[in-house]
Amino acid sequence: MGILVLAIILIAADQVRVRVQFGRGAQFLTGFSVALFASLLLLPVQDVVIAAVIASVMSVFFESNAWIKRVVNAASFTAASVAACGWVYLFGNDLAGLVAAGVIFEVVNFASLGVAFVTKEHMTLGELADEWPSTAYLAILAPFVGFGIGWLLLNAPLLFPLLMGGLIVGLRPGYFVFAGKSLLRGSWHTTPDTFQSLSKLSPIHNHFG
Amino acid sequence: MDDKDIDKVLSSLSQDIKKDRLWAFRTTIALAIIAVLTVVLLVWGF
Repeated sequence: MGILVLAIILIAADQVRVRVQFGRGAQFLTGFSVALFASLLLLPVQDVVIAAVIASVMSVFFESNAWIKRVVNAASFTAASVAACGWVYLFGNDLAGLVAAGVIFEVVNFASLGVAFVTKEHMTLGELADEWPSTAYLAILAPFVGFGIGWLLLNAPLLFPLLMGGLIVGLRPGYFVFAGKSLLRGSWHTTPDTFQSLSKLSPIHNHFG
Repeated sequence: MDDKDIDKVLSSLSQDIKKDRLWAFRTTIALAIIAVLTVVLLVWGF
């Protein structure tokens, strides 16, 4: 039952997406990997890996793009989760172990998606290489954020609601102030070529299909 | 820029706003679910 609850948490975390741009490439930091690493810090690996596989497979039903893409995404997340959990099972879940698991997660994820991109989308290897720095960036970022959240839960669980409240307010700045009514939504980004909100940063990888 | 261009700009803008609101809504719901279920796991003693 606890495993199912964790699986639902992972599915929900996968809905929280922040786009990270690095050079010409860009990736989504989904809350999935962050929540996975937080769980790996707190819970037995055997439970986490089952929940992660359930959540990865179920994510097929919570995406809104073409079915082939959903299946490829789900398969790559499953492989990446199992690889990361396997690493933690073998080498422990201290910070170094989690960071290594994060690198493995993103490498497996990127490699399996890369195969699909090159074969199905006819993406050139040069275009694929553009995506790599942002993937590598996430590989470092996600385990640290996950470790931080897990550490907070272990040592100061009462601060957790504050963290979630902060995330809720912080991730939707335009609408927190303007409630979506104003065309000129604040002045969060005033330099040219930047955008008003996080989801608008994503003209190509549009997660609304 | 004639009226049609302005209409186009406005409609794409309103489309973007709709997507943003959907994204903000989904993100908020997801974070709320994570928060509640994490507390459930904590109280449960994992």
